[in-house]
Amino acid sequence: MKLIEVPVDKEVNIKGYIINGRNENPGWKRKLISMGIIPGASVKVLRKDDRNTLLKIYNSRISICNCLADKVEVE
Amino acid sequence: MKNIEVAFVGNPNVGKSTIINNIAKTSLKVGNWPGVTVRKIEASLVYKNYEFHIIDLPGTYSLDYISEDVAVTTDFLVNHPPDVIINIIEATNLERSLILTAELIELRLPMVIVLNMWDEALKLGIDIDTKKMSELIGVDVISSIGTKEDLKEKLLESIIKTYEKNITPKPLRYSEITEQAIQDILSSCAVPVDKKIPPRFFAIKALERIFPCDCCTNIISRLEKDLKENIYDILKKDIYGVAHFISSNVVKRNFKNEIELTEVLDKFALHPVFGLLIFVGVMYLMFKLSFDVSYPISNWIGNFESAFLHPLVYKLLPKAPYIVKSFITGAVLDGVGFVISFAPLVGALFLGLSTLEMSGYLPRVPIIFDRFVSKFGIDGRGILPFMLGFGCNVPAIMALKILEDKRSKLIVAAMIPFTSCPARFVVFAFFGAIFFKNPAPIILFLYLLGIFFSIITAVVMNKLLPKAEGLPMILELPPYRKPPLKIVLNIAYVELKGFLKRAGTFIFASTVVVWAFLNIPPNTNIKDTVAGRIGSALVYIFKPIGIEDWRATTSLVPAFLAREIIISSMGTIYSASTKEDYTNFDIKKSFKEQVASFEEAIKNTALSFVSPGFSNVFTQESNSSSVTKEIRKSLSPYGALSFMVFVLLYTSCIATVSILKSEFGTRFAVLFLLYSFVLGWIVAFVIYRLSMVLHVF
Repeated sequence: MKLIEVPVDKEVNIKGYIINGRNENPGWKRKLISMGIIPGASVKVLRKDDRNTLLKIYNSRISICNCLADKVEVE
Repeated sequence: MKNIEVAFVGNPNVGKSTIINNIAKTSLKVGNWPGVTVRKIEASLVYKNYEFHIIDLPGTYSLDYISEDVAVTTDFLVNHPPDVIINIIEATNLERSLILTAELIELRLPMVIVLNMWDEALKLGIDIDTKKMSELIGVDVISSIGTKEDLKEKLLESIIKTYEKNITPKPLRYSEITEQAIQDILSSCAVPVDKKIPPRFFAIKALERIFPCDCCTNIISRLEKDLKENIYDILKKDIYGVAHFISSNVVKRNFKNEIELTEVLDKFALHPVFGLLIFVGVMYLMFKLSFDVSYPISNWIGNFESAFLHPLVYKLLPKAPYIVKSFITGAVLDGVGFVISFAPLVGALFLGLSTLEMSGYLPRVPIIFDRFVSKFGIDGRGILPFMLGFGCNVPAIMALKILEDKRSKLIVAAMIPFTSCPARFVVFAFFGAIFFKNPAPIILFLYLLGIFFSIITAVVMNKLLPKAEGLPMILELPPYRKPPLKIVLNIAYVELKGFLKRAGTFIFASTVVVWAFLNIPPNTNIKDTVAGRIGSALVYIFKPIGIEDWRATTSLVPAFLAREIIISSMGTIYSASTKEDYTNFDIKKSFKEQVASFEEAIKNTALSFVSPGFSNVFTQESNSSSVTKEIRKSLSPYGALSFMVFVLLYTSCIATVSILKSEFGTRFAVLFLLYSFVLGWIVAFVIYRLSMVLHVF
């Protein structure tokens, strides 16, 4: 697995979980999983700044994270 | 008659409360964000020979204990298994919703699945084969539009069939690794005897480390060492696999790029600068429209009460003792009647708020403020209960259950009582209408002032409380949609009903006490009565902030119970000090005048839709009742503004103080009460002096 940064307005498929790029808070990953943000989902970063990243997750609703959720695991 | 206990379970914001309102004809609060239902709510209905006991559980994505509201759902299902589970699924979000379904399946309880928002799914090109889904899972699958009438029969028939035939879902089977881990726990560890759950469900939750079990921890550690992988991740991948398998087999056509309009609108609505400007503009328009539309009717009710009902009482009961006539006019008409005259305003405000909520705009507000509030130790999620405070502070404080750490809860709890709830709004509307030509900017200022001092309080709390790292915010946003009229009207109806109920019970009782204090001792100058003496003593405290009339200060005393009482008290107190002459009152002529005036009010209301600002009639001297004229004489506009600021910041609401006490303890509640009083007085003083120096009015 390696991390890649997702550019704004470009659609990518997540192979693993969306990763918090700023800090590896395990609670964040568990929260994402418990909310059912599914690995394999097609994701587009709609907007990002130093705090919020607005993600469009195609098989879910739009989600907002207070973290740099703009890096994803790829195989 | 047979009893069936039915629990509604689903992700947040999928329409559980809406469906229950539809089938049980209840008026549960519905909303467009998580946290509207934070405790289990019950309703019942009778259909054929069955009595259905319905339980609305807080929305959750999984059965765990990640926050208090989710724990309510998990605890209920684990400790009090219902006869039938109704799993509400959002048809537009099938695969993700099925993750919770997979967990519910493991409870081995009779279940019915409802695919809600079916119409939206069809619009997006999502076509779900309900028959195939039913075959795969082994239970009834019903398509639904939450507000449609035909759902009731379809759903209740399915519940009866499921209950009578004990239709449980087909068992699930995960990957070999997971199944082996489950077997290892089942064969080596004992399920606690107090749990009413299937052993397999216990084993799965033990693998997730949700149920504490030393024996299970040892097995998990050994497995993870052998596999070099986290067993939680493996299990969740299996559950996702189940959801994906079902979804890919039943969705005939899938959608793509479905929410283009939402994306475009969000570019502006969620922009750090434009977003804030749009928010202020939208809220201003809503207040302005609420005022302009409702004022003609509110004004008419006020005048009808003082210009027709008052003299009517004296005309119809000429020989009744003065105390009886005084009670009817002073306590009932001037007190409760005065509050009721604001019902159109409250209704209009809630129509506006619920329209914004159901359109999908209001749930986006946390994002607009997230960056800002993060500086004060909370994330944007805290804005959700904070915003509920604009509906009522009490459920807002209860909604803090959606937050995961106590630090954030304390900070937001201290912020909520400064939000402008409808009770404050009624007082603002009342004062705004009497003292100011265009009350909308004044009220918007007060709303923003409340938000400002919420933030100041958060800064103070953030400094005082020990630092802690909380969980990050992940928030789902609904797409923008046309607000469903039925739901919008229902929300406004529920709030208005609550307001009128309070006017008829709690406020009436308080007004009777105020009226009694105004008549003890009897036949005395009103200033020498108990109420007059209390008010006169309080003038010393409130004089520096521009409230110099004893009648105004007296109205603040019963207002500790609830802010709306200020208006009813003022009605009673000011009318008691005003002598009216009804000798020339003609019932027939006056009634005709009232009918004509009502027609005029309706016309003005209609005109205000096309021309906001047209019907600002409250400030016109000729249309004012004698009580409002008297109030206007007793306070300057500066004093009125100061009064409103004090009412905004001082937590004069016994229900809010009680809920703060029950959630955070007596010490916190008392300290907060003192803090809010001192803060309210100081800010009112500064604004009063500053506005006079600057000649604002």
